[in-house]
Amino acid sequence: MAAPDNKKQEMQDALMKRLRAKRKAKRQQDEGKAALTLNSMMDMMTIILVFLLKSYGEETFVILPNTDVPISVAETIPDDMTVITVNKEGIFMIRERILDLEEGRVSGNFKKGGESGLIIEPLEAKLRQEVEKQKSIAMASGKTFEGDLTIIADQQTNYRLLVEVMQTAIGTEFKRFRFAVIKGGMQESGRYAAAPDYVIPN
Amino acid sequence: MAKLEEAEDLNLTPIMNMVLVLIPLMLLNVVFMEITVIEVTMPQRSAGAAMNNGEPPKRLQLFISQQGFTIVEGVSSMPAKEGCPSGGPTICTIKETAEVETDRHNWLELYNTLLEIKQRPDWTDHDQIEIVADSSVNFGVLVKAMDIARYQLVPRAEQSTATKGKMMKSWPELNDALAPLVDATDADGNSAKMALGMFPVVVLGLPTVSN
Repeated sequence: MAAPDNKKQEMQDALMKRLRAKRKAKRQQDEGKAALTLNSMMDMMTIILVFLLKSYGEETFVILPNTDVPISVAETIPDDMTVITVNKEGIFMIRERILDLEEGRVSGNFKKGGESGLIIEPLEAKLRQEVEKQKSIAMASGKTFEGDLTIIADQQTNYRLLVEVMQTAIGTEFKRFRFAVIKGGMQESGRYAAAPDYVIPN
Repeated sequence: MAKLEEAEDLNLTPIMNMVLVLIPLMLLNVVFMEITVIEVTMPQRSAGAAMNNGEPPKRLQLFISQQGFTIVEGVSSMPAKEGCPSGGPTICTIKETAEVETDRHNWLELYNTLLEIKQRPDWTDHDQIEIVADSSVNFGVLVKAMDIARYQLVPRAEQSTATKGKMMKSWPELNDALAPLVDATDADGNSAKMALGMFPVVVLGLPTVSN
């Protein structure tokens, strides 16, 4: 009964030999190839992506380029509402340009009553459309139109222009105004992020 | 004979490509500054100040010009402070050549003057200030004036213990000051700690024309 045992042993040896040869061949094939472990990087990317998607969704409004919004100590969180941007170039609603400014002023051609007028006609027309839209939305959702308007203004915007925008809005049923500002301390209050260094007066 | 199987690795290349494109795109668009708002009202042009039992209405007005601040209590302007030209604004500018318009004004004096008014018994319950500016005054100056007028301030270390604002002795003290947090009720009826106001209700008036 020794012959079958020897044969079985030989077969096992041959199998082991083939396996070893196969493993050796695989090792030789893998030599020179570095496998990059991407797991931790994927984890990091996923966290960043989720955080960015959340921040992106929370933005109530967009600050357009060329708009140096002043800093303030105000702490009231903005709601979702109609937004007008007034910057160095013009007056915008969301991203749509309503009219251009001439040296920080609205030309008399665009105002009721000429240069001394307070009502900006193109803005008034656009705000009337917006009021109709907001009223429809409010009615459909069982709410009332509150007439809230947020103004995002450049730090250099003159008071006259701000009042013209607000007076135009008052004529179209907006009655509560909010100025958007960047939250900061009392030292930076009224200045803008890229302003020259502040010097404490003597 | 045992069948030797090799596990297939998940092909993450398309996901990685997508994520690598999405992240820079969103980083470019995201704004890391915190945006807040200041609530203001503006009366209709036809609306005049209501009379108070035949008496002139109780009003506190702040006029802002390129020359400084004029404070009007009721119907009379406060006289010019020491060091300012008589007949001029109540508080004159301190650095007319400053590059940023906000830095030209004497905010320390304005804060102390408004707080002195607020602490008088007849003005303690008054919450409203009317701000009127020259046409050329910029938005930054208006924001700073509202910040100064809306809150009472105390040195940072006293924020949680103080119950009323303090006069500020120097610019560094004013710049580092915070509004004391006091017990109050929010809009939903919940009790909360809120910043102590000075004249928190701001009404903007039509611009003046003097420059």
